[in-house]
Amino acid sequence: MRNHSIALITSVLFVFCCCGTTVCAAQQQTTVEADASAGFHHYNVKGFRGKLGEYDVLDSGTEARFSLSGTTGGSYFNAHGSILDEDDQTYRFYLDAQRIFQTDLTYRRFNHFLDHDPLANQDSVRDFDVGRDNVITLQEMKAENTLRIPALPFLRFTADYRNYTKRGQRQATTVSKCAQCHVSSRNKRINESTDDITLGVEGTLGPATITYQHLWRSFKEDARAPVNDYGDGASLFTATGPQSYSRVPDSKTRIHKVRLSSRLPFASSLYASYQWGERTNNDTHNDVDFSNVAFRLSKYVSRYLSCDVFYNNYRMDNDAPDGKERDIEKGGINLNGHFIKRTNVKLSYQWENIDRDNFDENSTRKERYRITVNKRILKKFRLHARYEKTKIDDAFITRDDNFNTLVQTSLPKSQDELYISANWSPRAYFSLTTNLRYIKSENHRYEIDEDRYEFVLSFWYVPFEPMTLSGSFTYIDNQVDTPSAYKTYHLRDPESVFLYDRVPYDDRSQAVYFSATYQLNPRLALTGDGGYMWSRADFDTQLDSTNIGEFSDLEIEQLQTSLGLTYLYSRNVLLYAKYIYREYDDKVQNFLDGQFSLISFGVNWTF
Amino acid sequence: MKSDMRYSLAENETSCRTEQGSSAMLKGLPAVLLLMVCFLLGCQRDLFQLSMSPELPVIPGAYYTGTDSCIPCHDDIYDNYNKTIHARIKASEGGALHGTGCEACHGPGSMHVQKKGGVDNIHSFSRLDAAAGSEICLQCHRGMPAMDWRANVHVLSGVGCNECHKSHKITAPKMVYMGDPEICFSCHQEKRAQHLLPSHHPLREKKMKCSSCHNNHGSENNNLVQSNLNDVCAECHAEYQGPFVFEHDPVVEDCSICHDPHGTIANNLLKQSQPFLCLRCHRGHRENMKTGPHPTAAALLTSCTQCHSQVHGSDLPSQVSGHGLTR
Repeated sequence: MRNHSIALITSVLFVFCCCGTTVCAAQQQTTVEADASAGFHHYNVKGFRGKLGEYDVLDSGTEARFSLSGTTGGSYFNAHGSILDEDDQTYRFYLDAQRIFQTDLTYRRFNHFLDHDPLANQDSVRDFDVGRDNVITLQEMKAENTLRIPALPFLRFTADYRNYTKRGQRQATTVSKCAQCHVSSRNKRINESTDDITLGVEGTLGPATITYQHLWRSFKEDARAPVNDYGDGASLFTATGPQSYSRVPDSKTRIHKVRLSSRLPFASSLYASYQWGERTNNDTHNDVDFSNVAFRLSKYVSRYLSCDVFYNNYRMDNDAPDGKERDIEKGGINLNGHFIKRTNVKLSYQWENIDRDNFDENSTRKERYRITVNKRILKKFRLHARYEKTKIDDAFITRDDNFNTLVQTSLPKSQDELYISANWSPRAYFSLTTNLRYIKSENHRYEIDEDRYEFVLSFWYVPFEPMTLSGSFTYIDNQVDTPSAYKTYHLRDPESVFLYDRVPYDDRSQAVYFSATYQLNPRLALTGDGGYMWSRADFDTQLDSTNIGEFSDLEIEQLQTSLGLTYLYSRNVLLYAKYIYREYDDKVQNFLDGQFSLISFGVNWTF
Repeated sequence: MKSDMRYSLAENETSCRTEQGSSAMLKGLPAVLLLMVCFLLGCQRDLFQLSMSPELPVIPGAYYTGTDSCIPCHDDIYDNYNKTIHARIKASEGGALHGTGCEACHGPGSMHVQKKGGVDNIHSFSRLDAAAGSEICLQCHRGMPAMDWRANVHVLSGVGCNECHKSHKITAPKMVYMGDPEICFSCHQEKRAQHLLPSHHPLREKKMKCSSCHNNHGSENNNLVQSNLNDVCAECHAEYQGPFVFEHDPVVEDCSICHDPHGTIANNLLKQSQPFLCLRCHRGHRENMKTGPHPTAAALLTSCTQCHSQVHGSDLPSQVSGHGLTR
C-alpha cells in the first residue's frame, strides 16, 4: 500500500508537471517558476535519540527539495516537495484548472519514536523485547478536489480522500498476576489504516450558503494482537493460558453534516449546522449513534452594539450493554459593545447541561460568565483584559465500584480565570507584549484546590532594516492540592482498608526563545534561533513510610540552537548551510539523556 | 456593474429551483428544517439585498474604474497579486458584487484615482476595523471554514482576516502570513511555550498545524475545535475511539480530562504524571503490611498503565472484575 501510494503521488506529479510544462511552452501568456535544491546533512547523535528528535529521523544522508509553479491561461499549478530521508518526506501538488477543477494533493511521512518503559520499578516483570526501539511510521495522503460547473456557478462540489496509516511497533504491557510474572511486556506490531472519503456540495442561494458533506471512515488494524500466557490463573481470574491482549478493534464511521450560513433581515445573520452519524465496532458490532444540532443568531444592533445567541445539542446513544450515553445542551448570549471610543467590551454568558446514562454522575450543569475589554489606552499602547467565572454543579466523578461512599474527581466546582495582555509599540520597529493568566479552580466538596499562573514577555525589534530580532520568555506554574485514597492490596487488612492523604502537585516550566535574521548584504543572509526550556513536576505523599512521589518526579532541561546561512552565488544559484545543536537532559531518568548536532549544506538552483 | 447584478439575480432564481430537489436526500427533521429555511432565504433576495452587511463599508460617491487604473501607481503590488489565487477568480464564480480585480476588495476607486491617492477614499484594510474588513472578504468566502466567522471570538476581539492573511502576496499556503502555526503563536505565546515542553504534538517539527484541530474561523464547539473534541482526536488516534465493551468513563466524556494537547511535562500529553493523575479519580493500591513487602510500593504506585494498559478501553475482560482494563 505504501509503495502504491508513493507511486501514485509520483505519477500524478509527473503527469501534471509534464502537462504544465507542455502547455506552458505552447502558449503565450505563461509563467513558470521552478527551483530545486540538493544537499547533505550529517548527524552526530550521543545518548538516547528518542527524546531528542521524537518526530525526526536522525540519520545522515542526502536531502532534496523542489518547487515548481506556473500559470497558463486561467490555470495554475504548484508542486513542491521535501525529502530529508526515506521516512521523512513531504509533497504537495495543487492544480487550479480554469477555476473549474481544483485539486490539492498532499503526502507526508514521518517517524514517531516512542519510549520503551524499562519497568524498573516492578520487582516481578518480564520484558520480551528489551532494548528494541519503538518506532511508528506515520503516513498521510490527502486529495481534496473541488469542481465548479460554469453553468451552475452557485454550486461547488467537493470530493476528498484521506488515507492515514501507522506502521511500526509500540510497547504493550499486561498483568498476569501470580501465575506468571506480574507484568509482561512485548513490542506490539502496529499496522493501522484509516480511510476517509468525503463527498460534499456547497450551494449559494441569495444571501444563504448551505453545505452538505458525507464522510465515510474506515479504520482497520491488520496486525495481530500480542499473546500472553496468563498461566493457570487464580480462582477469580477469568483469563488463563495463552490469550491475546491489547487488541484494537476495526471500526467504521459515517457522518452527515449540513451547515447553513445566511444574512437575515434587520441586520442579522444566522449560522446553523446539523450533524448526525454512527460509529460501529466491527468486532463486537457495538454501535454508537450521535447527532449535533447547533445554531447561532447574530444581530448587528447598531454601530455601537452587536449580539449573538447560540444553542447546541449533542446526543450520543450507545447500544452496548451499560454503554455510556450523553446528551449535552448548551447555549448562551454574547454582547459586544463599542460605547466608548477606542474601547471594546464583550459580555458573555454560557450554560451547559450534560445528562448521562451509565455514568457515575448523571447530570452536570455549567454556567460561565465572561467579560472582555479591549482598550487602546494610548496611541501605541493596547490592553486586553478578560475575566471569566465558571460554576459547575455535580462535576464528572468516579465512584468506587465496591465502596459507593468513595467518590473522587479531578474537575473543579468553580473556576476563576483572569487574563491580561498588553502590547506597547512605541516605534514602528519595536514592539513589546506581555500576557498574564491566572486560573483558580476549586472544588470544596472534594477538597480540590488548583492554581495556574502563566506569564509571557515577548519582543520584536528591528534595529536596522536588514536585521530582525524577536524573543520571548514564558513561565508556567500549575499547583494542585487534592486528596487521594489508597485501598489495601488484597483487601486483607479491614481495619485500614482506606488511607486518605492530601497530595500537593506542582509543575513548573520556563522557556526562553530567541530568533534573529540578518541580511548582511544582498548576497549573504544569516539566521539564528535558540530556545531553552526547563520543566519540573513533582509531588510528595507519604504512604506506609514511603514517599511515593519520588518514583514519579520529573525534571527536564532542553536546549536547542540553530544557525543558518544563505549565500546568493549567482542569479540562479543559492548556497545554504545550517548548524543545529539540541540537548535533552533528564535529571531523574538519565537513560533518556542525549545530544545531537547537525550540519547540513547544499545548493539551490532556480531555473 | 449592472451585468454583475443581473447575473447575481439569475443565480438566485436557479438556486431556488435546484434546492427543492435536494431535500429528499436528507433525513431527519433538523436537516429538513435547515433546507426549508434555506429555501425561504433564497427566495427573499430583494429583502436581503436591502439589509445586507451593515458592517460592509461604502465609499459615498465613488464609482468603479477598473484594475487598469490601479496599475500605474501600484505596479509592484499588482505583480505580486497577479500570482495569487485572487487574480484568477472569474466573475462567474459569484460572491463579490462588483466582479474581480483590485476594486472587488478595495471598493470603487474613482475618488482615489482623481485625488491621486489617499487612504480615506478607498478601502484600506489597515484602517478598517476587523468586522468591516472581514465583511469584504465574506462577500466571497461564504462557505466553510468561514461560515461562522461573524460571531467568531477572533473578529469580536479585533482580529480580522487581514491580521493573518496577506492577500497581495503568497508567503505560505492559504496566504497565511508567516504560516501556521507561527501566525497563531505570535499572539498565543503561551501555546508556543507549551509546545516546547517534552511531550508535545509535532507542531514545532512542522508535521502538524494549529488548523489540524482548530477552525480559527469559527466553530460551534468550545475553543474553536473543529468538531466534537473526541472526534477531532479520533481523526488520528482512531484506535482509541471504540466503542468498546469495557469503557473508561473520562475517555468517553472528554479526552481533555486527562490530556492537554498543547504540551505537557508528563509523558503522553498527560496533564500530570502518573500515578498522581490517576489518583485524582481512583483509589490507589496500598501495600498490605500483613502480607509483607511484596509487591513493593514502587511497583504499585509508579505507573498505573503498566498494568492497566488499555486505559482507553478494551473489548477484552480484565482478570478480576472485567473492568480493570488490563488486557
